[in-house]
Amino acid sequence: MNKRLSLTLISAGIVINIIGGLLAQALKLPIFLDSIGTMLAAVILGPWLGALTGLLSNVLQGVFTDPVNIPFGLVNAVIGLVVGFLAMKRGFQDYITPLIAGLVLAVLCPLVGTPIAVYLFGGVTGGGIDVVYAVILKASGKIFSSAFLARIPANLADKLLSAYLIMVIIKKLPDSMKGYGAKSAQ
Amino acid sequence: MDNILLKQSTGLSVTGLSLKYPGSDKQVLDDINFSLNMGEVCFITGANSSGKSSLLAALAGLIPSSIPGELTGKILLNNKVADELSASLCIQDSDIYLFEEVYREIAYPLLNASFSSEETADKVRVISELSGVKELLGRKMSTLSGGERQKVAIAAALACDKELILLDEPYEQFDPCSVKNILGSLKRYAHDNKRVLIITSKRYEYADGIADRLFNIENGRLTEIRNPVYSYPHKMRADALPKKTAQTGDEDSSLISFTNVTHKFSENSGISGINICFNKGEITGIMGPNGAGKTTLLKHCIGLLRPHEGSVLYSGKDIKDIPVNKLAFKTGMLFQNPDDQIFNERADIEIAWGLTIRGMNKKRAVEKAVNILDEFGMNQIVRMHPHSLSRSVRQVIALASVLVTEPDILILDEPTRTMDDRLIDVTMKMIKRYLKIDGAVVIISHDPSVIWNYTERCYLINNGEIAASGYTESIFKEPDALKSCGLDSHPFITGLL
Amino acid sequence: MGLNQHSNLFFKNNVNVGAKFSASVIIIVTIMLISGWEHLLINMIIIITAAMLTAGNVILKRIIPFLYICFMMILIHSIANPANSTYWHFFGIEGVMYGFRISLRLLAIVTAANWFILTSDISDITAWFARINSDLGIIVSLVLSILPAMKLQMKITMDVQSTRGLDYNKNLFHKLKCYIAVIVPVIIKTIIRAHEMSRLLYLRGHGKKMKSIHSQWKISDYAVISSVIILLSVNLWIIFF
Repeated sequence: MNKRLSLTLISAGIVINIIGGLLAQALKLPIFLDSIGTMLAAVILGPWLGALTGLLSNVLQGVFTDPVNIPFGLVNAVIGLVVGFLAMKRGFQDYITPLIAGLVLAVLCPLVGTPIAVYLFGGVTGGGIDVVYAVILKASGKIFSSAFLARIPANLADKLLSAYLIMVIIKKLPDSMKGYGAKSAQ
Repeated sequence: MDNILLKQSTGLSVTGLSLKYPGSDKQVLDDINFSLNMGEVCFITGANSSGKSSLLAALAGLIPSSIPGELTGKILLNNKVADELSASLCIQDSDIYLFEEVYREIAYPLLNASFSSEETADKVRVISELSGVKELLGRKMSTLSGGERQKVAIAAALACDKELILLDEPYEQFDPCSVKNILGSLKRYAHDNKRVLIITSKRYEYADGIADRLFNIENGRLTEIRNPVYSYPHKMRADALPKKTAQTGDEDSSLISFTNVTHKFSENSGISGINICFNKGEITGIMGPNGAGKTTLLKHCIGLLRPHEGSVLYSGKDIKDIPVNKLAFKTGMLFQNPDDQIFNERADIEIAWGLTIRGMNKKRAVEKAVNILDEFGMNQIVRMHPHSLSRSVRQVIALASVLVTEPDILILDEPTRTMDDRLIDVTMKMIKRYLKIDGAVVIISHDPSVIWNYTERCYLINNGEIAASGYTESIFKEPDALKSCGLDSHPFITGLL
Repeated sequence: MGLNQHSNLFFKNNVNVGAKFSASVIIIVTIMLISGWEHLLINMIIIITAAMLTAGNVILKRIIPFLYICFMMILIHSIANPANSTYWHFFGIEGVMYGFRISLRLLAIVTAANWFILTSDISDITAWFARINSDLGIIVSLVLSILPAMKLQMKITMDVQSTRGLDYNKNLFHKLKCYIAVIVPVIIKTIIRAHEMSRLLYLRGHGKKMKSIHSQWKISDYAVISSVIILLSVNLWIIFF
């Protein structure tokens, strides 16, 4: 894997993040599916370049559209790291690995994202989840934990589905393109 | 076979070049020997998968540095071993480019060669005049047409300023006059600057007056064509046509008809006042230059676009409220690029998909898919991954996935863009076999040879309007109609008339 | 041309992107250091006014969408914030102040960040990325060229698959299958494109040392930076004295 190819694959991953999100919107799906490019880059290039893809994805989208995306690049980077390490150890073509990825990310992503969301938005999202947040907050009196718990369900759905989607997608790629993902449970 | 190797002190000299890709025993290049002088223009023709692109990639130094492969033999340029610093290559797919701004796409190699921005601007101006893209310098690549992008790609290759210039099928999307102009400029450029210019293409009709040497490559072996005959196969291939009587387009026999269809994108683009019938048992052609409105017309056939005025009828019924995926039951379309649609990891599943999404039981669908591959004589690819096969085979897979749904009407969009003669023949034979007795075939093309060889009736379209219609044989004998479409200078036409 | 458009153009063309970025960052850091709500309010007013003067009224279009979330913040915290002890009806004052403070901070940060974006052209920002790191510059440029091509590809594939009979309007499970049928060809094309582009980079001489372009800062750049540093210093003085 030479450097030029890494550069172009990172760029491709960033674009796939954007296109993945656009397609989910076009089909009116209830999940975002906007980190499939990061996951793909992580499977093909490994965890560190995958994390870079995730981080740059948010930075570039922030600089060219809405800058409030930028700090959440850390969350996207975490996705790259987790998926990348899992792919290196186990490949990403069986039915268990995406489950592990989805569950781990369903906890890690809100863990990293909640402090940012609390600092910038007081834990509020502007969406329906805020009702859940308010209820838990009133009951527990803890801002961080309430925001964290409120974010888990949506993250669980999004990350699990994205992970399984990536597994199906990787299976449909020709072997030459799979990178680290070519390792299947042997 | 009898290439006499001249001991040259200048120029390109290739000796014993052979290539195998990893994991395959196929000899992609097989003991290639030839030499060219500086300032010479050379055409190399060959079918898809003949080794043309691999040869250029090897000459450019892409193999083995970027593309893994076992390369043996010697490539000498001016008596020095040629490395990646000696050649510039324009790749076959001009829809792949680096930068969004046209200027930067051409300037990038110059900036990498450490020219200052003023020197770069000067050189870009000269090169863009040569390749006919001067007016496009301020634009964005994604807004250009396919032909314009190809010209920019040629300009970028020239900007690399190497002694060996390699152009892989560089004019597929040009109109005939543009091709002659560009080839003329390139020949002068090569001659004046003492460059070796190698151009590959599927046929060599444009080599007349341009090429100093002419070669053909087949199965990896290179042979020189010494006395080229610049002609197209003109014989009407009677066996390609189903023997049916051509109706005169009365309502009962038309499967699809357009009545006064107009669809305007802007002042100058779109189609207007289109009246067309595709009749049972006929093969109809739609011919016209690039940008004439053929794609727009095509999209109306299947409901991807709806008319602003007029109506599109299927067997007399207006289709305006029927969604695209329902129209697909009657009309099957073979698009130019199989990679726009192939997404399964096995050929049989991909072919069966068109049936399974209509609700057919998966097992039955896969059986039908395997049957049709059998009839193509291609049952060895049944379980293979489509992307491990060549693009021509993927085009066959796309064709099979349409034929297996047994549509009433089959529409082929620009089949010659990616197919060579052999594949078109196979395609037309299969279509003949699978087409229902009352079915219809529509072929849309900018290439007159395919319209002449395979259609009974045709429509000429130009500037969004029908310029002529009737039996193919009579249309082709009408020089005025052809001239209005700019097709009179196409080598096939000039040979015919 | 109104005053807004004049100053907008001036800032776009005459102030260096690096200077604008640094100014934005310094403003954001300043905001993050402030805690009192009156302090934040004054700063927010200054920042928004300066932004409107230099970037035009468009900056309001970027800020207004955040007003909804600010409202929700204040509402939710007024009801549920743990620090609530003084109440007006059932709205806790401490929660309101908490929400209010964060809203002010948010609006100020959003203004400063969007100011940077609205006063810089895409090509200037791309060139600035390239000055920071040449690989980063290449990635940004490649993304900008791949994206329109792949958006088009997505549309083409959606059309083609529907001509093969794919219906996009059934249940959720079916929609996921549609997603795969469209995204896989797009992804394969993107990866193939990436492989070809890496060859193009090689063929066109990537990796050789390019003339590094250092940009010179002008008076206007120093003026912008100085005014921002003054803002920071004044605020620091207020905080600590």
